[in-house]
Amino acid sequence: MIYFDNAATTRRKPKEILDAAQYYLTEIGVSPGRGSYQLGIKASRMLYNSRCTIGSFFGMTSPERVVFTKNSTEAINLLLNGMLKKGDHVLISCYEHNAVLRPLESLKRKEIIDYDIIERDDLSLPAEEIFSKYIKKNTRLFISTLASNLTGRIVFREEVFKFFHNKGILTFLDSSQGAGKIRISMKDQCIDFLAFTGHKDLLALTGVGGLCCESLESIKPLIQGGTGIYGHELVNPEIFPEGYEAGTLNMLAIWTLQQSIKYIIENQRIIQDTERELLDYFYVKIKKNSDICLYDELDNKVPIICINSRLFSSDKVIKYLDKNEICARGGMHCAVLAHEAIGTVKDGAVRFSLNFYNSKSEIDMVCNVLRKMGE
Amino acid sequence: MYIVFFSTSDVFKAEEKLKEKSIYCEIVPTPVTDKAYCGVCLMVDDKLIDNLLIGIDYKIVEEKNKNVF
Repeated sequence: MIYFDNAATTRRKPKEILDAAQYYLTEIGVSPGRGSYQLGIKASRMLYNSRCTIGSFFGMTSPERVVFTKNSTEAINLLLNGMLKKGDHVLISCYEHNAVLRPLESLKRKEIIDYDIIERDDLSLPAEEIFSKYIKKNTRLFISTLASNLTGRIVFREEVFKFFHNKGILTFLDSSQGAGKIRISMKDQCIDFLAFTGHKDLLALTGVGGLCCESLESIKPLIQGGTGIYGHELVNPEIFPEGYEAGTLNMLAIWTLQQSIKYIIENQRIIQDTERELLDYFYVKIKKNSDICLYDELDNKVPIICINSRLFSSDKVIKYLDKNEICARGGMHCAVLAHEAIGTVKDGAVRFSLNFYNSKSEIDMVCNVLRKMGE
Repeated sequence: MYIVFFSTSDVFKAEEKLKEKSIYCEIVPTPVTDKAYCGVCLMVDDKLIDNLLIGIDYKIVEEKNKNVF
């Protein structure tokens, strides 16, 4: 079986991450932030250390402002529902995932906010031109994905974040796609908020994500419940981080995340070089097939190749690949704006997302299967 | 005495700061006083900790039942 759906979940995890999971399950196995016995305290210390590792990885000033959630969708919902106020305007890129679009559209339908979308051709404009074209008097938040989950294009631009931040607009980076592949410093790059998820490029188990808050802006908790602090209060306190983490955290996944981040830092160069080589190799091979059209064929991207067949719809391509034991994703990719931007709303698209565990022989096999499909 | 915090995360942040300065501290269940705070707090012998915990919200609680266990 060949796996090219790493943009959904990295299926294969390094041994160090599996060892971390086994350690937590067998040696700890209790909730952090609850029991005051020694094992509970150890779990709480591991949680604190995990926060520090993650906060430091994203270049934060204060790691206690890392709020853990179950994934980036929940983190995005926490920020958008907890911070935006009636009358606010939000600006987003045309490559945003539905995890950003839908909470915003929902708030718009409730007549709380309004939002605008930066068109594809405008994404490369100088920051001041984007600002003058799209910003309104009530624009409070600018959101950009780090990289497109559909095509792999790196959408984040440091100069735009710095410009908007310096103009008093809050900036929010959705790093779900690309965190771990592109180093980020929230402090240095003027990123006020960042959402991450553990199970994709960060190589951790599923079930952990989070919201990093470099900004001190007030946020209302998304859910109410037990927090391990202020037990006498009838609603969650707005205290970082516990006030935003009602319910028992997925400490197993969190512990694998701190380990996977260490793994990524230690192996960054070889991961990047391997993935770059595989991506370039894939492009050279697949471009020889004249039945295939490619989208966002750029240097500036994470290792994703987005294609369509000129002969078959994306669902047929995926079905054919699956019969040949190749896992890739077709159809819509939970990013309708991105599909609109590249013109694939009607037909969908086929996505191959690579990582360093893939090989050139696997790419050869995929390209051969695609060629046979057209014969 | 006990240093009681409003966030569990701050307990470990403070522990880290005190240990950096080689000040003995121990994480223990928070004593119940006027109201219950988060589950654990720091127990310290040294009373000169004020300058070491700048930026962290905490409250000092004196021991009432010292050496019970």
